[in-house]
Amino acid sequence: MTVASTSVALERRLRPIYVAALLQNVALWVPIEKLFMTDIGFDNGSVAVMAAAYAAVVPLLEVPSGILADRWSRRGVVLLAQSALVVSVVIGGLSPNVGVYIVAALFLGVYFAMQSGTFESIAYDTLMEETGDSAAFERTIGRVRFAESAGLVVSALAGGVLAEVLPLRATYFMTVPFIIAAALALLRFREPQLHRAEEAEPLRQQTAATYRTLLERGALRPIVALLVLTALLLQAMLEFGPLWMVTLAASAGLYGPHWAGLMAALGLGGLLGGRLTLTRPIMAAAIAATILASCVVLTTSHVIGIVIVAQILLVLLVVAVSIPITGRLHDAVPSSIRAGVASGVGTLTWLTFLPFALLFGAVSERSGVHDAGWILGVVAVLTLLLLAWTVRGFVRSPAGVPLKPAFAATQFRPDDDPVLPGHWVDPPAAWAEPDLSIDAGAAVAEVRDTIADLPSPQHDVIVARDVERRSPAEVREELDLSASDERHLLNQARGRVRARLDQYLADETK
Amino acid sequence: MTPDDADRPADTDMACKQFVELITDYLDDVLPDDMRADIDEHLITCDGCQNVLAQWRTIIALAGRLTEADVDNTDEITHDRLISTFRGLRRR
Repeated sequence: MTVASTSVALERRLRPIYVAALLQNVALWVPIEKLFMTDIGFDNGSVAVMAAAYAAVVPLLEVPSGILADRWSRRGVVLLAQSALVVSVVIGGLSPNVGVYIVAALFLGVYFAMQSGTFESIAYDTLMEETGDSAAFERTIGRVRFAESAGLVVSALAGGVLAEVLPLRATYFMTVPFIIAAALALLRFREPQLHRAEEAEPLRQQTAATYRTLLERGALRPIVALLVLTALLLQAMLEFGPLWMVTLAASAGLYGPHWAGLMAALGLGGLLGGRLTLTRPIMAAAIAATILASCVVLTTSHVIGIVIVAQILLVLLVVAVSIPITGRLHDAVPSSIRAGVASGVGTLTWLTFLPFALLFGAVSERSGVHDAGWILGVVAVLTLLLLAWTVRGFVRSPAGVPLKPAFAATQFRPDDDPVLPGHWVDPPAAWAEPDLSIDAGAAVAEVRDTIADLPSPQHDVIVARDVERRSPAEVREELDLSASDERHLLNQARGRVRARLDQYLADETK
Repeated sequence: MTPDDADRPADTDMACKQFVELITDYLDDVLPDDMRADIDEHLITCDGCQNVLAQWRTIIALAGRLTEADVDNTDEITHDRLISTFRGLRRR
């Protein structure tokens, strides 16, 4: 089969997935949820209890549902998740009081835990089955995400408009047909058969390796703490942000644009995050000032427009800041347990969010959501302090894994060697240049992989100097390094590449 | 393999262990003249270090063939992070 026909077949096979992702994320009730909850008797305290109950369910179910998906059927698990979503939305729409609505929220937790990550696995396995490699994974997932965001943003706006003309409950019931349509789309999808039992064992190993990594690597702790703090801020804004709208008696029609704004900020923050240079003092100061100013607005302002802008800015910047920090996490853990560590951080976030939500609820119940905003402020200040401290570390030392020296001390004779102190035990042989030029492509690929695996300061320096060919002065300026640190890091990085390439060439000639 | 006696550098020679830490400084030409002279002298007699120096140059040449996108190490995890962010927003 030609490449073109493979890709047409692939796209045709994946189409039901895109459609399901879009439809499943149509949630007309989401923007006005807090308004509705207030109507049926929620106060800020019980909103927080609901959020906490929800935060407890998700981490409990995430791993078992992942195993179920691997052992039984991923499509089956998504269908179960969609059933839970229908149950949640129907109970939610029918709720006469707080207790019943919390039951609806628990079902929503079941939905979320069961479907998370499953589309990714389906897409991955389908690619492997159709094309034999995962090269198009990014693009496929990009499309799934795009479909999901489109569903979210459009339904945020539509839900707000509908709530102006219809009873709030109606937005819940009107969501149901979209979920059923998503399930029907999914039923048209031919599930790949690649996964199954062989993944169960690595899962256990991964879990063990993940927890060892999270708990034992001292240098990883500030990074994990930062990720948890930023996720906490984000979660708090998405969970409690609409409470400001309720307090300030915003009209139902404003909830749609407010929610759409928060959703768009998530996406834009992701894009912005890739472009941030946190080591630049001016940029870092501007970000910190804006985050703090947004928190102050949330504790003091009673002007709806200003509060909305502050929430959007806060979400935008918190997402943006979390991206380079996530990069540090990536630098610090081996790829085999990267996904596990990421979900371990996710679990920690949920567990931290639980008491946070209860505290936030208690304070906003007693003295209003503006006062509870101070808790956000405290988390923001902690985040910024830890960030300032960690960013220095970005440059001064590798995050997490200590970099092995390019040449181990054992490669040299001891300093008190009577004959050749400090000289090679086994002098490195020259690389066979003909080999290199014949197989330069493979050698370049080896260099690429090594550079991509380097921890951050060494990675950043060698990319700037040897890949982008920028001048030493320029690189020092940008990365805020002294001249000698810059050369030292570059020398380490080149040494690391040398060691890998040397090993590679030795294996090749065997 | 050990170096032949013939390859043995003079007693005052710079140690290979020192040299490998200075290769980038040497190539950037930022070393004081006397140190540079010591290195040049060392290189005359030390095949191992000559080879390593040549390898440094090879690496610089190979890395120069890459583009920034080739070695971007934030992509994968950024991507994971975005996925979890979007997962988070899907819930409420």
